[in-house]
Amino acid sequence: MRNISRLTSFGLVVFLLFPFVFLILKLNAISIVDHEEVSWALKNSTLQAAGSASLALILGFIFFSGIVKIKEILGIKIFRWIEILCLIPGMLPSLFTILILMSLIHPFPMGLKGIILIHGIIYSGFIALNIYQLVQDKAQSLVEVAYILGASRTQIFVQIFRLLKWELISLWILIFSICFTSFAVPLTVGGGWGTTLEVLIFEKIRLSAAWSQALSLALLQSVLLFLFSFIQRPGAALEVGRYSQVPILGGFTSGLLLIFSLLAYYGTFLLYSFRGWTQFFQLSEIVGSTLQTVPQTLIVGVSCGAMIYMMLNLTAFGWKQKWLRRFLIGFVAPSTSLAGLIVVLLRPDYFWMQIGFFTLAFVTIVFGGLYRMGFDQRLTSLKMQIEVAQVLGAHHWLIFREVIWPQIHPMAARLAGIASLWMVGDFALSRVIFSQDIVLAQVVQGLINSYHLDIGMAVMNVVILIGLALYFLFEGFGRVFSYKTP
Amino acid sequence: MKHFLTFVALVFFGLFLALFVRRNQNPENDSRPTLRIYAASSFIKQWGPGPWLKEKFESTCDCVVEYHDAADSVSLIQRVKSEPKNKSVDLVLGFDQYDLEMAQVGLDWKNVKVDPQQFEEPVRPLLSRTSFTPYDWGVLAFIGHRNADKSLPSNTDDLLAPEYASNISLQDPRTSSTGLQFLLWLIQVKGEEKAFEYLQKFNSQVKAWGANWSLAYGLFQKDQVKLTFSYVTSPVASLKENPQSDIVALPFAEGHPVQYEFLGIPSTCLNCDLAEKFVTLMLSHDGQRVIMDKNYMFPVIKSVTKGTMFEAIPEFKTIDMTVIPNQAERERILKKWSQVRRSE
Repeated sequence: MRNISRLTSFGLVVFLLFPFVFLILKLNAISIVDHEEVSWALKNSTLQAAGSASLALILGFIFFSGIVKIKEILGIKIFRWIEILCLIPGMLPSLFTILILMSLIHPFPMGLKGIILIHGIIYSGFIALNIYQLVQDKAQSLVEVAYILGASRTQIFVQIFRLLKWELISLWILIFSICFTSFAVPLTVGGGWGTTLEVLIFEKIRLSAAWSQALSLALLQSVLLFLFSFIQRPGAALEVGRYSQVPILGGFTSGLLLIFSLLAYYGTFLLYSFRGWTQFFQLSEIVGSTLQTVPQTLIVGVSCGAMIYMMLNLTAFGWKQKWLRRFLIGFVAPSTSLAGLIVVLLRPDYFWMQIGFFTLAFVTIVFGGLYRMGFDQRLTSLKMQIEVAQVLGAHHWLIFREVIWPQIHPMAARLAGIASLWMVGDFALSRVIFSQDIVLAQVVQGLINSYHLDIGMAVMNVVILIGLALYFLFEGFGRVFSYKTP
Repeated sequence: MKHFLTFVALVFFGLFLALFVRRNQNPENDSRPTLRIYAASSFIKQWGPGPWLKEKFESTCDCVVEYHDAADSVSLIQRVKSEPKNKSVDLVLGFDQYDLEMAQVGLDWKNVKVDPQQFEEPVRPLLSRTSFTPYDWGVLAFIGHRNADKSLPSNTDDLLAPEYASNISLQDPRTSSTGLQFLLWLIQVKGEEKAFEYLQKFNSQVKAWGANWSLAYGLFQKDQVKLTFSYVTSPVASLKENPQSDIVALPFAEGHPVQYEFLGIPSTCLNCDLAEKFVTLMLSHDGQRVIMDKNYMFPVIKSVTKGTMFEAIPEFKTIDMTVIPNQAERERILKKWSQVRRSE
């Protein structure tokens, strides 16, 4: 069984590294890029990513407090909706987010501040949810004891920060990695700061088809992020079976701020898309395209989610391999343009082949990020339980089935839901891989590229609904098939 | 649990429906010859000219037209290059004048015979390139809102007025063809040194250099900026969606850059005759009219605009953009442009 675990881990690593190996072999070379150009882009990437991750963390902490208050006052059902509304900004196309925020913030700060602000707002909800989960999993005892001893909310927050510092650093690194490879936002609102490594990669491909230079930059980007991941350390232990929140963490002002932010964000979006709906029904060809791609989007969404769920489980199965954990914490996939190139070179012609290739490419791109979204911390926190099981003589498969799987399954399902939510909103990879309109995001992209911005925004509502359906499907799967806690 | 299972059942019904739709559409089940066309997204989407041309062509050719969407011109070229011989591409649509050099590296193209007399005057010089034939063209200009109280900019220096500070959206020339057109146009009308001196001042007027045309134009559509760089046909598109639209293209004293879209038949085509016939349909009066109406670009064939909204578009003085800087030259210019942006 140990050999199977080793083999699985090895297979996973080979799969994730395949894009790089394939491109190096296919392009036959990696080439040197102008040093000055790269250092400028690297500086911009680093500064905007560091600023964005820091702002997202600060806002995330504020919104976390708001989430607790909302759950306390409005109950679990509203909380579930708030949860999903916090995740959606990450799936909207950059144009929509930029338009919404520019309408809400006057004057909108351009340059580095603008990039940080947009990224910070996009990922703050996601961070808030992760902090909520972390506190629920790891800091309940601390909060309860501090509460009973009469500590103030600020004191409790300081202690939470101390206890969860490595988890928070991991979250910071995760957002840093996402923002480091961001493309449209830095380019559009960044002014002189807009030249990032990702922009440089695109420039090399778009202007001169210098694929080997683009590959060198992608490798540089991945290696840097991999090295950066070495900062991370194992976090606090998991508190098994504790599922309650102490009200003291909830802040009324934070709750109001969160609700106001969500209302402003989605209100502006709905206002923009309102006009689009009237135009939508006047153009029968758009209605046809939309209806045709809805079921196909569901297929692709389910396949991406299922693949992520399977890979997270395989990772858990091979978790004893420490090198695998080390690798996954630092792994960053090549840029979308390069992943797309692989698929173009492999020429998937048929519908199902294209869906298969898209799923593999998408999973390769997002898997590292999803793994670092607390999954690694969850696995690490099971170490003690696994050791006890080993001492008691349990073999590898039994440990996985009875100790690891029941505790990672809900999280793996939730992460699969997030992956399918992201997939539904993916605009970059789908337009590179699919040679016909297969997913709804392509329809939206086509609409906004041909003067139909309002209709594109209206159709985006359908994209969001499909994303929500898939998210709840996987999340429900995680809850229904998990062991019930007393 | 019951709700969840109902939900799952619904999802799987959706999946089944998708499978059913795809099976019924699979062109592999058809024994007729297939004309494989690679084109830009905007051309083949349901609201583009592609579906009409396909329907019209299939009604007479006893063949199947199969469109393949390429994300951009680089992907288009890459896809054509990587096609196996038994699945060769028959026709490629969507190159602009800056893509042609790249398209000729490692690929051979058939000569397409056309009658130059049928073509509009500004397009004729381009017909000397027999491998690539233009099928539509557009004039680029700054677009703004009609304003009864104030005069609108009529030259590049007017754009430096304080009222336009941080009120213009453009496309980044490194990532967008329209953005590249702007930069090359500026260099052509002002000379390189003066163009970059101008850009130093002009940068503070630009609110955003969008990654692509839709981003820059979207900011303008949602009133985040007063001016944007787009096509002189953009007001027509806007009027079609909103008859009250006050959007106008601004004629500039310096003249305007022009973008041409080309088609080409790879020498490896399998159904070359069909490809040529399709080109004939595209360049026919009806074909050109559909391309004009759906793509919002000017037709290359004479007299097509008569009696349409496009006829009302005033004539814009264009500058000769047929001399195209080569790839290395463009890279040099863009590097210089990046240097200017660093000082922002």
